[in-house]
Amino acid sequence: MKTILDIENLHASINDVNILKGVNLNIKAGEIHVIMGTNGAGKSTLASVIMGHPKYQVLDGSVYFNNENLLEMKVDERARAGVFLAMQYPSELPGVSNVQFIKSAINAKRDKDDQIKLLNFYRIFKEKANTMKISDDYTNRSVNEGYSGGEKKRNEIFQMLLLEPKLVILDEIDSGLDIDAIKVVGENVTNYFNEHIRDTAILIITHYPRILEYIKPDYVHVLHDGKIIKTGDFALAQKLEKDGYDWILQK
Amino acid sequence: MKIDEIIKTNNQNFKIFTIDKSINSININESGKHLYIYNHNKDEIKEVNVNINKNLDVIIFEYHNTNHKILTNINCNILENSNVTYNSFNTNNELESNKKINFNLSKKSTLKTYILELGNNLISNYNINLNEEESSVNFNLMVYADQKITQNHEVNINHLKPHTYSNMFNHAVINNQSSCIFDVKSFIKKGSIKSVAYQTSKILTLSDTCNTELKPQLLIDEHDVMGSHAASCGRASDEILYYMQSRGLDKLSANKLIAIGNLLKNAPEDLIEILISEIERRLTNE
Repeated sequence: MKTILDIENLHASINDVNILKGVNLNIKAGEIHVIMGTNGAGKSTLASVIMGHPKYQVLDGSVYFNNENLLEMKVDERARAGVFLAMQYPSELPGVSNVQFIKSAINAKRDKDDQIKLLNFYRIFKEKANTMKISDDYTNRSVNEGYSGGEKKRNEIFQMLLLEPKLVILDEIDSGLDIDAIKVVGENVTNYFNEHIRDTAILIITHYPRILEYIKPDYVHVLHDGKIIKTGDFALAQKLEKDGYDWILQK
Repeated sequence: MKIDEIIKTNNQNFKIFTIDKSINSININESGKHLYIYNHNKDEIKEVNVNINKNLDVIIFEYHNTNHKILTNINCNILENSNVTYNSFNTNNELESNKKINFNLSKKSTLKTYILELGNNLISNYNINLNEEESSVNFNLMVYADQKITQNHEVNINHLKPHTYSNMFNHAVINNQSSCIFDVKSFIKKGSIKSVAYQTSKILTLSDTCNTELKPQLLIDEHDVMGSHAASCGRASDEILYYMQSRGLDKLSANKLIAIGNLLKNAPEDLIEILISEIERRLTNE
């Protein structure tokens, strides 16, 4: 399988504080990777650096996505190329309706003479809203405005389904979700992945293995002090849930 | 297609009033929809008195599309138990227009406005008098200004009797060297117990060279009332732009969406599409 994401020796900082101190990670199409780690280990920073958040500075290393140098691309160029970050704290967009926002985002990926037809858009929008169990009044609501934490996370996955990315990064998508919502999110991500397995990969950042009962990972990595210090499979996530991080950090 | 044509196409049984004299009087005695088209062809003030009788549901669309100055002085009296929706669209291109509108509300009457200013330099003055008990207003004023346009808006909502309600919502999006002033006041006068006055004003700037001035005022001269005001001006936050860019929108498109979202909040549903294209056209200078 071809490599989707290739990170080598990545160093990054925020406000002159070094957070990532040499991350190496290779993710191939059809693979699901998980990053776990203690608070402040650099998990969300890694996600933000891949997406291109302007407040982080890349000091060294490289990040390639489908053989393209991601670090030379703007945030919107990365997104249009196929990178999607489901954010830990999605922003609220007062006055911008979900329909307007998602339709504009879909059209941003298309040529000017190939913009999505309104009827076609509404058909797909409705279909995905049903699978995500999103209510009818959602269409004209402002993006994330007044949403609960769980609704925001559900909305992130809904956007993912409509934008059809090649690299899906889920940054603590399970925080704030109730048991039923975790199931809906987990099943939808898995279904999407299975439908696009040939050219898609997933990177999950989480503290808890519960979401992994629905999205089965191939690799679980432990990030500590800005570096990946251990890699295993789902059993590693289960052991971390049971025993915590001390046994790794003491080695 | 122009906004007035869309309004006529979308609405059957419209009563159309062409306002071309200097003094006009309109008496409304039936519920229904009305379209006021202003013919501004001289430098004269159009005095318009609109009297809305008791127990009616009335929707008014007012449209100014002209290359002459808009000089209007409108008095709208809403009698007991009537509900009025007042939509006004201005796309004029003449300098230094001047609008003055007074609304007088009687007992248990309601007023909802959606006023969209997309035109050239303008000074406007809105006075809403909640003259009798349980009268209420939802006031929405939306402004877009570009180039060197100056938009100066003064809004006064006066609570003159108990149990009156107001919610004022002023939004502006300004670009380049344009400027916008919102001088807005909610005044709960003595004796207006159990009244409620909310006020939100927001000016979104799309460039570093525009000027904004916000004067939010909440004057309360009575106990046992509720009131709040919020005001903000500035660019869209970096986090919001980052979020939108992370979905594939470039900065220009993201700002455009934010601007449209701000201006179309509370807009009439059936005009959303035409208003979006009208605003988009201006944002892209087409």
